[in-house]
Amino acid sequence: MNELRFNEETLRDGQQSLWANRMTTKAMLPIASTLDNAGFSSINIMSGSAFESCVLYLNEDPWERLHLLGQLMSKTDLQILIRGRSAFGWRRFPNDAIELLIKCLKNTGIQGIAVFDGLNDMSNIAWHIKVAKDIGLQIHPALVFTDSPVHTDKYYGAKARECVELGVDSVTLADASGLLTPERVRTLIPTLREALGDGKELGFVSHDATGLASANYFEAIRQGVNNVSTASRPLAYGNSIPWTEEIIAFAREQGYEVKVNDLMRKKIDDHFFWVAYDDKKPLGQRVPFNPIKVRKYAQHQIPGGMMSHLVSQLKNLELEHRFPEVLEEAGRVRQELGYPVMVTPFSQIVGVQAVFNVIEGERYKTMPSDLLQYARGYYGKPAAPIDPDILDRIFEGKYEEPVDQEEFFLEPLVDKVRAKIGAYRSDEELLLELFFSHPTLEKFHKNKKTIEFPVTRLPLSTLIRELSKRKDISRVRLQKGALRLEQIF
Amino acid sequence: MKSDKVSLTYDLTYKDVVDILKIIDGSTSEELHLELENLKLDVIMGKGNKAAIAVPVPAAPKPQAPVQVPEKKMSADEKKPKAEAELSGIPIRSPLGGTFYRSPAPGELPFAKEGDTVKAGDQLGIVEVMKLMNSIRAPQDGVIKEVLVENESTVAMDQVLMLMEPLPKKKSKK
Repeated sequence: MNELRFNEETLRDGQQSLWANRMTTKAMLPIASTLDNAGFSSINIMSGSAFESCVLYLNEDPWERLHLLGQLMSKTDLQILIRGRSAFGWRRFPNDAIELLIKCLKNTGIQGIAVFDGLNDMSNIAWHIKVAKDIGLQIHPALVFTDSPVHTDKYYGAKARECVELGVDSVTLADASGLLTPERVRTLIPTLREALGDGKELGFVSHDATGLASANYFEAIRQGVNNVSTASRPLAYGNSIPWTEEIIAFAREQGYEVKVNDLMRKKIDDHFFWVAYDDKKPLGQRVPFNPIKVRKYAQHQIPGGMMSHLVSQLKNLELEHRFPEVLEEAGRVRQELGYPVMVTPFSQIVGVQAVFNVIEGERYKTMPSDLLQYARGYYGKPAAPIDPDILDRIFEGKYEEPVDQEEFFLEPLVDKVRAKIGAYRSDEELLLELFFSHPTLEKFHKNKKTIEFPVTRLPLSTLIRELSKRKDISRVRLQKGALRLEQIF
Repeated sequence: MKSDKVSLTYDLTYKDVVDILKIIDGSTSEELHLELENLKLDVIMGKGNKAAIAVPVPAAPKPQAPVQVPEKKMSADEKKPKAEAELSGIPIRSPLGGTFYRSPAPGELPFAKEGDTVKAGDQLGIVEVMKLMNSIRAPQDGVIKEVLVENESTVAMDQVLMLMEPLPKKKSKK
């Protein structure tokens, strides 16, 4: 029987998509060993933005979280997601910084690195792949899906072959924005499968922003993916990915073997129901599919998180009524810039330029410096060349030397930072210095809390504690099996 | 099947607990009687008059609080109208709402400070919008007269960031 393997994403994609990465380590620790024993092929435990959230909002040392999870989960392969050259920060980092990061991550006890580049430019992640392989980590690149005239099946097939040549362990098709449809899955997955050959695993993840994710998974399973990413029920659907149970049920019905233990899986769901209630976090809601909305969204592809930003920017300028124009314009700018995938930083570049174009009434009059950088090739190669007329406007007819990526990659940065902060500091601290500004770190060190190891409680004792907290209750009588409790407050 | 049931100490789940608490918190009844498969729960509400008393007490106004709060929030905005009214010199405005940075990186020297002579096109600051860095440049040669906005503060579109004066011509007025 063919096996379908499951990569668990509650701690990474789930909380990133629905809770803005505000899940505390305290909420993760009690369920860690259950996750570890549940039979997932891998568990993704962190990404760059969760790392950032630890430092900026949760006042937790992200390294401490990684070490704790690494210790509690020793049976299942743990993975961490790195966003290409910007890794865990916002600017781009040279080779030595990427290498130090991957080595430190390995030290926390993980087995694999997942990595993607927003332009699917493999030269941006070739170094990550090499370093991971050299030190004995698995490497799982993701190809980011987008819908455009140049992002064809052939394009993705060629990217998958590039990955194979670089010696990766698997390739995942990642639909970060929910633009994939079952029709497209039907042709794209077989193309990727063929490109990868027999030996390599093909992974699949699709976000439910447009309500099509589950249907996409079903089709992807029929078309022969080997590994799917899913989340527990409270952190599934909506902007997140489908619920493990739904996908397992379909896979088994199709005759696939799934090694995930149902009882453990139910415990995981149940734990996060409590976390959501206790921390006042929303539960993932299924999105009804609406073809008109989806078509509009496909035209500009601005991610949900950024839409609210744009609206508030325009509101500040009292130009909220021009929002539809900005969306129209974003579609145009995206096309002119060679169809970058609308993820950070390209979604910002396109979105902000669209705002400038609309409010100034003249296109490309004001440009963020990141656009100039993009046009000079600083971020790598877009899927299609930038419109030559627009390139002229960007450079005002002047010739601009293209950025030499290789030269930048080789620049020494780690030693420079070490010299600045002092040799006695640990590599983990050094990486914090690389990824965050000095005032941010100063604030972080001042407010940092030691991560609490929570006492494990059962649901019944949790219920009793909660009841006793409520001031408007005068008397509780509880009977469960042999247990009888009467409490008068 | 039976062995399964033994290993699951869990005929009451967290989800049940959440549901029970939601029922209790959302209820206005005086008594609640709940029976699940293996659980019987009776909750009697209303500790004498405690619920009724609890409301008015915190409602009594704390005298000093309301005065301070609104003042604090204003500071970013209030600067703008005051400065706008008394402008003299060449205003350097923010092209869009965002965060204003005076220096290329935290801890480094500012691009330009008061009294500096700058040339047209020299960078004077950065306005960051959604992690994008927009350079603020000098529109002409001149001297920085006044920097009106503090480093890392939030600025609105068209807000005046700095005032410049044209370069004083030393000898003739030509």
